[in-house]
Amino acid sequence: METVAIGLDRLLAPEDRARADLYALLARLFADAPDAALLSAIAHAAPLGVDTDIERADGAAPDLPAAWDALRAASAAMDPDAVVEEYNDLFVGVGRSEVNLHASHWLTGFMMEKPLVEVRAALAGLGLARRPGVTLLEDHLAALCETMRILVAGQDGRAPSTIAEQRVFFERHVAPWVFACCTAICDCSVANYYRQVARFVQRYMALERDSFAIE
Amino acid sequence: MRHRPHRGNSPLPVTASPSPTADLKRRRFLLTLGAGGVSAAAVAVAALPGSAAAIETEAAAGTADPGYRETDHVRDYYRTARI
Repeated sequence: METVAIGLDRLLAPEDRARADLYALLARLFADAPDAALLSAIAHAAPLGVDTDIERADGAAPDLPAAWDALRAASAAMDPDAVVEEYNDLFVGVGRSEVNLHASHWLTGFMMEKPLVEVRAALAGLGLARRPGVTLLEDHLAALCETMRILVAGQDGRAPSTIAEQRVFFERHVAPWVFACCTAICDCSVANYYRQVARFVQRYMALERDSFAIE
Repeated sequence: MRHRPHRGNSPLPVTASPSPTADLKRRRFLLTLGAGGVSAAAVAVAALPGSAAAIETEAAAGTADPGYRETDHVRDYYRTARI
């Protein structure tokens, strides 16, 4: 059996562990509707800490703990069957879904476009790839969140990526379109649970953007 | 919104790691996330099946024989090529 370098198992700083966990959760929520177990787990999750002494960059997102509370409350109140229907109505369409979750769509107006090519190239450069048999495209928001999770936390046999590498991937493939996508979800009359998800995502992505900008 | 010059497809420039001061500032900025000790999302993440991941490390793919490999894509071709 191969031995894994000890460095790869080092514990993440608490805030990076939290970032990795949030990316994992968001990847899961955008890949498919949450089932009853996941809704319950979110509903019973702890609140985010609030520290009034935290130094904030210009334009920081101060409402993250409140958005997390709203998502937890929505998770407690949501019926599992209803959220499946909502997810399908919003994101899964034979002809046209209400809101498209692919970067290519938001950046070019079409699916399977240059942004997807660029994500695949970026993944290859990072030594990552779509798992065989997975139908999710690499520029789908769930896949991009999954990639961020791996960059932040590392994976079997892979150390976490540097902040610079995380920032480049985030700024090139996530930040340019995720805010507009979340606004579209919030504006959609079909959205209910996912309106709370989108609001949380907007604030979390703003926090990520601002933290990467700290130099 | 602050505008960053477009980097296009150029490879990542050799960016220096953030200075220790910047790193500290960043960690304080993110304190909201980690202040609770155990990540608030950890409870939810524990409920996720481990096999759900869509992205994985490309293990040894770079050193694999670049010739013929039977992949899903190849199998699809054979399937659709049958008369």
